[in-house]
Amino acid sequence: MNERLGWEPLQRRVLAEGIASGVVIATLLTIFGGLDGLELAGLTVVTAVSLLLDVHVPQGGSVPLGYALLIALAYLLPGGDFLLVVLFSVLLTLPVLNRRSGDLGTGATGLRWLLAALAAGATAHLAASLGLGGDHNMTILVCVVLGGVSFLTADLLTARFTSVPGEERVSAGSAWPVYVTMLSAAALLALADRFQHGGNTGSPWLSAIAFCPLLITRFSFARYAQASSTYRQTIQALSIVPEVAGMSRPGHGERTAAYAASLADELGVVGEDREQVVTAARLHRIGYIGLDGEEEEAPDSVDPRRVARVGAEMLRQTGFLRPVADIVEEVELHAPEGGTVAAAIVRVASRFDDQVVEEPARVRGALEIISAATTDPVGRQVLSGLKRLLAVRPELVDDAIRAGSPITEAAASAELISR
Amino acid sequence: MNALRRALDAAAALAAVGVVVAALATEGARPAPLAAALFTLLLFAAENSQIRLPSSTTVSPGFMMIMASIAAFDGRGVVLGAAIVGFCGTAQITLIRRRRYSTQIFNSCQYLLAAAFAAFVFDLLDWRSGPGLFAAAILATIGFAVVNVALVLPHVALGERLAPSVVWADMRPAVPNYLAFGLLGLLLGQLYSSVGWIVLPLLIVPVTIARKVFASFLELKAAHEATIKVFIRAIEAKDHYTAGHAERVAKYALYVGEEMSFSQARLEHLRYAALMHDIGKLAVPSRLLNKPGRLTPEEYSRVQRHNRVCIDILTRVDFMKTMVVAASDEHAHFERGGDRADNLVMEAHIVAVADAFDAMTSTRSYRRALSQDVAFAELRDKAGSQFNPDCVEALVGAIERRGEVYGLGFEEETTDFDVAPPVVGVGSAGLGDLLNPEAVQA
Repeated sequence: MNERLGWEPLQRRVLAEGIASGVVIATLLTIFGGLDGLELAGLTVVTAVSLLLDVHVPQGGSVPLGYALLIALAYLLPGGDFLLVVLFSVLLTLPVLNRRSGDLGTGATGLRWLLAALAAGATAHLAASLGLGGDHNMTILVCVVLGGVSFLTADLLTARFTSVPGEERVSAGSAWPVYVTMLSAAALLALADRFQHGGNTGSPWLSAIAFCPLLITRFSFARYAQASSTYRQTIQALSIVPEVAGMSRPGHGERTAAYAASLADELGVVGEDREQVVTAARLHRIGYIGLDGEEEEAPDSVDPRRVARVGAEMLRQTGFLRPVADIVEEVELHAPEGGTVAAAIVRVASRFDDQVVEEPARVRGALEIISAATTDPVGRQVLSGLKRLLAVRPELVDDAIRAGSPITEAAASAELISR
Repeated sequence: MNALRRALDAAAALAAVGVVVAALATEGARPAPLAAALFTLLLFAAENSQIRLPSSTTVSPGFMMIMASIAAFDGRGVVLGAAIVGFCGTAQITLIRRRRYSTQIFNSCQYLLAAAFAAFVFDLLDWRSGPGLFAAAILATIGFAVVNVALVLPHVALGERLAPSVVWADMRPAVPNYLAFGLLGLLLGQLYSSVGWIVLPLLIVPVTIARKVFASFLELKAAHEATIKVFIRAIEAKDHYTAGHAERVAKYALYVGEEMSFSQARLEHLRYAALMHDIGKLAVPSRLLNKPGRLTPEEYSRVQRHNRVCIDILTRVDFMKTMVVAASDEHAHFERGGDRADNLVMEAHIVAVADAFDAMTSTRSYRRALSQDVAFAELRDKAGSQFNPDCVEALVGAIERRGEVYGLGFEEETTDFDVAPPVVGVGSAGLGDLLNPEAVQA
């Protein structure tokens, strides 16, 4: 029915478990809480569902849509009711969470949500009792924002200590647009709720509409994330063509990208600059596919500077990959004093891979060889970064080899001659 | 034409003056000046940060401000207030810089009329609670859209000398945005009336973020497109007998996809898959690609090895899976891949038919282009064995309905060959030719 969700028997079971838990929780709340309990049960189900809907962060990872609702409820509901809603909604999400990220991931995520919600509830109610913000509307805004900031801070901090292997972590630096949107939506929800409960002529539907900006943002981020992933995969596919053609060692682009990404992190290259370094690492030998005639037949004899120039020219023609083209060109055509850190990262990463791919154990020898060939200050700075990195993460070489293994394995199975 | 357009512009200006005079005369209360100034400023900001879609339509949250002002002025000079906001807020810096004053005046007048009509509808309905409020907002939004389209469509059609249907096709994708922005505007206006200015940043900041992300998304798509085109050019540089092949295969594949009512997202993926179906050629030496005549067993083995590894590697890249299946002879071949009735195989079948049609209707080193009738007959002959019959009929139907003719005598791009190609033979393009075991010299 849906390729991504894939309604396999196990997922039908998860759905059934979710519905059953929902019915039990709604019944309990209704029996013990009367009409208010029914309202709470409705809120619990809506919160649980929204916690399972993700808003993608452009640089990777995601934030649950339900955070906005939890932040608003932390202010709107009395402490006890809020705790009930949080507890039951987290319980409701457990079957799906378990299917998504296993036992460890479920525990970590559930704990994170509970702690963040507790922090938000405590802060919002404390702020309300202190009467921060002056007039009524300003009080709502201040309480919701303070509660929201506590929620998001607690979430980020807990995520740091309860990280699960394989889970993509969200950084505050890249997720701030999503967080700002969450806070705005939560504040709008709280204002809309107070507006309709204040005897105004407004409609109860306003609360639902308060979610619209968040849904629009979610849609935009989702489309961006999808397009970004598609583009990254296209670049990845194109980067392996010289390897498939036997002009470059199979898996070299992926391994160089893995080293370059770690080096960029080590040297504080972040955001778009980091993306460009990693893309340049993947594509630094793309120039081979632009060779023709005799050069194409004997790529080993072609001057690497010519390959870099041809590759850079191809990338420049796209109009969008100009910064990547500059790095690719500079990897082989750098000034004696060194040039940019980005190009030095790709150069050192590429040479290091050439040295260690056959014998991963000879890291020290490889570093000595590269050190002897690296005379420029920028290159030496990057090389020092690599040495530091290898000292704290000796598994880096194995990780990089693993990153390139799909290509090396495929090449080996096809008995492709590598150069 | 120009006289007609000038008449339309003058009529819009006169109607705008008439609406303002009527509103001044009939509405007792006047709109709050501060709110009018605020919404005008917001509309001005929105109109000057429009996003241009690939279809050349623009998207801006401007209507949200109009609807917000209508909800905020409700019962207090709503028609006059909306008219003022609509007229003043639509000043566009680029139009004024380029001294296109008449376009600017028309734009402001048509916005004034559409905004005033929407305000009139909202005021007339007088439903202010429950779903009735939303119904009133939706009808006001429809009123705005109708006046806006009714004025802009002939203005553009007359000015650009385009058929109204062409202009409408360009405007249509933006119409649903009115509804979303209309409902958001209603919320903004209601909350503004009740809570005050504080709600404005709460709603505008997320919409601004969404707008920025959407603009980045469009940029990313353009980058993707440009990158693919560069690599297609690289393929064509290696195999110069197939100039324009990828683009044509993508066009035919889209014809089939549209006939089969594919969604926009699926059509987009189909297009990328079709554009990149020959990517494996980049890994094949030009000498082999351009070799006139048959391949030796060693050459054939080399090509096949490259193709196998290409498929194996690309299978690991999610998005490329459709292309991989299309590149794989096993699944693209209708009979051999018939047991796999999943979506990917359908894409592969479409690309296979589009690829074969273009190969037959283009001149290649091994033969001249065939006529369209011969190509259709060949496709139909192999339908059910080599090709998926639904795809064949969809392509034939789409081309015939469009009245387009391809093949001998109708080729868009032709190549000068050193040796004139023979006039007989039917074959596929590129790697398909090389991989055909019958083509291998024993």
